[in-house]
Formats: sequence, structure tokens, C-alpha cells
Amino acid sequence: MEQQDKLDQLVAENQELLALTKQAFVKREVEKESVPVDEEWEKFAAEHADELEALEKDEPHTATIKKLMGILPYKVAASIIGILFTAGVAFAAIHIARMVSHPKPQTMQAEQTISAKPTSVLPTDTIKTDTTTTTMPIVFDNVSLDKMMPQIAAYYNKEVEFQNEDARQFRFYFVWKQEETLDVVLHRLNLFESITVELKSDKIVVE
Amino acid sequence: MTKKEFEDIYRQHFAKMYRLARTMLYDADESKDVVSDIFARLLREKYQPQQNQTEGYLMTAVRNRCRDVLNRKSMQERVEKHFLQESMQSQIVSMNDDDRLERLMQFIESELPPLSQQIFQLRFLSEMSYEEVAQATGVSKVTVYNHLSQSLQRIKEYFQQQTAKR
Repeated sequence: MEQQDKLDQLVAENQELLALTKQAFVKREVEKESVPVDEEWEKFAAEHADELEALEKDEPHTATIKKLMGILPYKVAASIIGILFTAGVAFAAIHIARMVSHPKPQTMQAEQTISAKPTSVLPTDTIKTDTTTTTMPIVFDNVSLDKMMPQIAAYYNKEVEFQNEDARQFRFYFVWKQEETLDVVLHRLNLFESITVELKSDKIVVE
Repeated sequence: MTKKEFEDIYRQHFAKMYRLARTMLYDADESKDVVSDIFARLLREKYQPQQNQTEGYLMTAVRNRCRDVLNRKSMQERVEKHFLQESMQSQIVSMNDDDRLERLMQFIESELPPLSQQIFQLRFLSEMSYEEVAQATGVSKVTVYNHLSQSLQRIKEYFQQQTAKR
């Protein structure tokens, strides 16, 4: 027991020396370890995909449009193939029906209508997927809070109050996804060290 | 700055920044967070330091960020885990940070008895209590105490010599 006390005292007195010694040991150890840079980069790139994309193009809109343009031709080609294919099936059906059974023209008609259906399904499908991608995030690039906050607030039907007037002129790079809830947006704004944003009843208060 | 340029900076400096953070914080996850935060800020602010200043900028950022992290830790944790505090840092010779630790390690390896080195290693790298260190090395606690006490005395003298030289 007494030994423990002595140890504690020794450690306390030499705290800074122990700290430096530990640093020296850890440094030596870490230099031997291999650092998983690739892995860490993959993680980082996934977490900050939006901002990295924004780097690539100053206008993120053009980037997303480009992406859409890349997908579109495939869809068009797919629907054309679909139409051709169903038309071919219909044509063959007519042919077979005509060759096999001359006296029953009604069944032929029925088959024709059924096989024609898929052609109308394909185009509506492509339209649907296009509309869902149109909710693009809004990127505030070096925009003052004075301009940014009212826009965000209006969308969520809130008002803005600046308790710190200087904060109006603070400029940020901020990606606002409208489908996010106000809580999430405020939380992300709070990640900026220089401001605190709080929701008080119907007002977004900036400090 | 393009995405490719950013990636290059990340890949080029990550390991060095991570090692510095580890040396100050010891914890691997905390160190990764620190480095990751710095790159996130760099990305957000789109600040690109001049080519030859990038490393200095990033390393200073790591150092400052680690100090913030340490300042938020409790006194007890600082004592238990042997974190270096800012006030202490200024007391001891203002040698180049990297260099200082390197030379200290060389001194320890060449001058201290193997058992002392082993005690340090078990305590610092395996994070054992002194009780466990005594058991692992098969010596009594008194011996651990004596070795520690003598080693610290030697290290103290070493630093005094270093200051005298300057």
C-alpha cells in the first residue's frame, strides 16, 4: 500500500517527463505501423461525396445534368428495343395466328391488344425516374448568412432572428438538401464553429 | 482545386498527420477524427495553401486541434494517460518537436537498462497498470518503482544537459 502511494507521488511529480517519454515511445511505435491511407480516403470520400463533387464543377447543377444525360441514352435505347421487341412479338403472333387458324380472326385481335400493352408501360417508367432526381441540393457557395438563412427559414415556414449582427456577414460553403428536416439542417449549420443556430418556437435564432 | 488535387493532398499528408496526432493523443480513433476534421474543413473552406506551405499548414492544424482535444479532457485522464499539457511543453526545452522525441528515444535506448525500457513499454504501449507491469516482468513493485525513479532522474538530467548546451 505504502509502495502504491510512493509510486503515485513519483508519477505526479514527473508528469511532464513521463508524458514526453510516452510520446517518444508512441512515436517510435507509430512509425513502425503502416497507416491505412487508402481505406481512410475511401471513407472520407464517401462521407464528403457532395463537397468533392462540388469541387469538380463549380456549378453542381451542370454536374447532375451531365449525369442525367449519361443515363438518358440508355433509357431511350432500352425503350426503343422494348417497342421493337413487342412489335415483333405482335407481328409474329399475327402471322402464326393467320397461318394456323384462318377461321378465327377474333383471337388474333385479342392477342394483338395484349402484346401491344408493354409498349405503353416503358415510356411512363422512364418519365417517373427522371422526376425523382430533380430535387437537387442547393449549394450556397461563399454566401452570407444574411442571404442564406431567410431562404432556408422561408422553406420551413420559420422566421430568422440575428442576435449577433456580425453573424449576418459570415460567409459559408453550405450544401442544403431540401428533403432534410429543419433539425438536421440546423445541426449541420451548428458544425460551423463560428455560429450557433437554435430553433425557438417559430424563430431560427442565430448567435 | 479539383477533386484529384484534393485527393493527392490527402494521400500525401495523411500518414504524417495521423502519426503526429497519435503522438499527442495516443488513441487511434481520436487521431483519425482529428485528421479527418482538418481535411473536411479544408474542403469546406476551399482553402489551398501554397504548394511548399501545405505540409506546415496541415501539421500546425493537427497540433492545434490536438491541443483542443486535450484541453477538453479531465485532469484525472490527463494524469492517468500521461498527456502532455501545454504549460509543461513550454517548461521543457523548446527544441524542434520531432527531433526532441527522436533524440530522447535514442537516449533511452542507449542509456537505460533493458528492464527500465521494458517497464516503459508495457506501461505506455500495452497500457498496463504498474501492478500488471510488475507481474508481467516478474519483479516486485519495489523494483518497478526503483527503475522508474532512476529512469526519470536520468531523463531529467538528460534534458538539463540539453538546455545547458543551447
